[in-house]
Amino acid sequence: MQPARLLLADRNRHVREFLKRELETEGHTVAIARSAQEILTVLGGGEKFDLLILDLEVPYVVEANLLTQLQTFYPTLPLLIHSFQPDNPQALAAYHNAIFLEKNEDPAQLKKTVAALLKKREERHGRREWG
Amino acid sequence: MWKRLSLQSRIFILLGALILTAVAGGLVTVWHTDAIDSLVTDLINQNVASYQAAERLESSLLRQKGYVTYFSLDQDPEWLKKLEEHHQDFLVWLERAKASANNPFMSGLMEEIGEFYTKYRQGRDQVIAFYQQGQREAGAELHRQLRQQFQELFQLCDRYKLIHERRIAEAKLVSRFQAKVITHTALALIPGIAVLGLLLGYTLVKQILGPIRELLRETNPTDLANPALNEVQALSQEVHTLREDVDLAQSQLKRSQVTLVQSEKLAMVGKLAAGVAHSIRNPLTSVKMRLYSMRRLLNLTPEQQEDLEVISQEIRHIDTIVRNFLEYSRPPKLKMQQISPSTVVDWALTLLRPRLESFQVAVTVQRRQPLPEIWADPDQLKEVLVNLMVNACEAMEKNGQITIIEEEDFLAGIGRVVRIRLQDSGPGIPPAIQDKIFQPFFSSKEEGTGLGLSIAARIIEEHGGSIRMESRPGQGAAFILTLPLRKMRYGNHLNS
Repeated sequence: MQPARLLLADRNRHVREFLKRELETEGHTVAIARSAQEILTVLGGGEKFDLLILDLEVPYVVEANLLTQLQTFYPTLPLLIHSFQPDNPQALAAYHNAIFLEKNEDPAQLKKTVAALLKKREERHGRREWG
Repeated sequence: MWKRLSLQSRIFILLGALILTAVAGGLVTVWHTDAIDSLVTDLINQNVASYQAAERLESSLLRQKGYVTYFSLDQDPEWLKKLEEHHQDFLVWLERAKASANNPFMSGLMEEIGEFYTKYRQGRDQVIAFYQQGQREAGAELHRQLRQQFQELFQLCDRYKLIHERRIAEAKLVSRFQAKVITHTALALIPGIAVLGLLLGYTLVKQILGPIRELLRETNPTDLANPALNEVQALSQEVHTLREDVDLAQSQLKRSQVTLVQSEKLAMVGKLAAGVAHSIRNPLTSVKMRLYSMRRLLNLTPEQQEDLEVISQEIRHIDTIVRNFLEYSRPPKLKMQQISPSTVVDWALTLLRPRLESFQVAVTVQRRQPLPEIWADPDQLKEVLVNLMVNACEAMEKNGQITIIEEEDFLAGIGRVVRIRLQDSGPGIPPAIQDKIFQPFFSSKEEGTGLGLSIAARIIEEHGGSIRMESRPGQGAAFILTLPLRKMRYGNHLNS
């Protein structure tokens, strides 16, 4: 599997750093964001990402209209929601093309899901885009 | 004015008027009867006696007639003697008549009669003297004149009698007039009494009886049909019932107010707890992640290994508390489907097998045939059963025994129900805390969150059922779940 560029957003600094560390052991490059604005800033910085790992509890998700922004400007960017089970299950329905993974202490589950998503993307787009 | 008076005043006024009229009528009658009575008595006492005297006077005068003529024919002194008797008689009656004369006119008349009689008597004595002396011519001559005088005297006496007759007739007329007055008064009073009586009756019916009947018809129409009760009795019965109802409603209201305050308090605490749990969950996850990573990477001594194990256990405990708090504050919606509760019991037992084995707890299921299918959320129901069984395991020493009894029943007011009874062989629940165990945040366990049983109770209630606990110290505890067997998909939960 080819290493990929990942953008990771989580509310908790230690969680962010831990997950960055864990994912980097898989060979990926991981950029991090603390809030919805930071996600949009990083994405707007010209860098290409293969996957966005998003904790729904990062600040300003609703206020910055993150979902619409992503769907409008980055429609091909895969989205992995890595979060607690939301209070309102309907909240997830809006992210209909995203994958949901409930947060827990074992990072293996996250690594597996990331790998699966990257593989799917690789197959769909072919290797040329990586060249 | 009349309308502004109170009903009681109106009835009293009418009643008073009625009594007054009746009494006045009676008094008038008595008074007039008395007046007539005294009038008639007067008439009898005075006029009749006087009339009698007048009549006797006249008759004693009439009897004197003829004797002088007889004497002139045979000169028998016997006639004169008889004449003298009647003369005396006349004088006696004349005196009586004079005494009974009660007005100057009559007295005058009597005086006149007396004088006239004296003159007549003198003339008659002269005639008798002439006849005795044999002067028959002179006697006859004077006798003729005397007859004329007698005629006039008789007329005077007759007149006196007539006057009496007229007076009696007048008295009769007066008494008849007075009788008429009484009759008219009585006649006038009769319609008065009738009108007042009718008015009183109308007021009683319209203002009292009618409204009472109307009230009864509104509250309890069967009372009206009951012949053993009159309207007022029926009404007082109704009022009595009403008062009891009001008392009952008041005490119910008071109770529900208390419950409301309590549940409001609980909702508040629940919200707070959820907020706390929400905030704790984030750093807790971070801790869990690091701990997990640590255990994976480190090579530890047995002591260090034990320390780390305890830390992990305690973190798991915190995690459970946080999850329970969150679950309590946001009850999951029931996903109803038709399922036999027996199936759910089996699932719960499968899930708990390792735990039951580690506690060395034996489970017996008393089931004649699987329970009928009901509308329920199997996951939630399983959660309840697991929760109850874990509680039982924790309460019992090793080698405990759990008995699950499944049965069907019919309850009045609810219909067919299924019942699952979980009996353990533990120490039972002390009476002091029995009524608190379903309250949120109440726990007797060291590691309890105080939410397990309250969540279980809520899940069962949302299924339209009930949960109940029976326990006697030393004889274990039993939790009895009762769930309605409904044909329709229906739960207590709003969206189920």
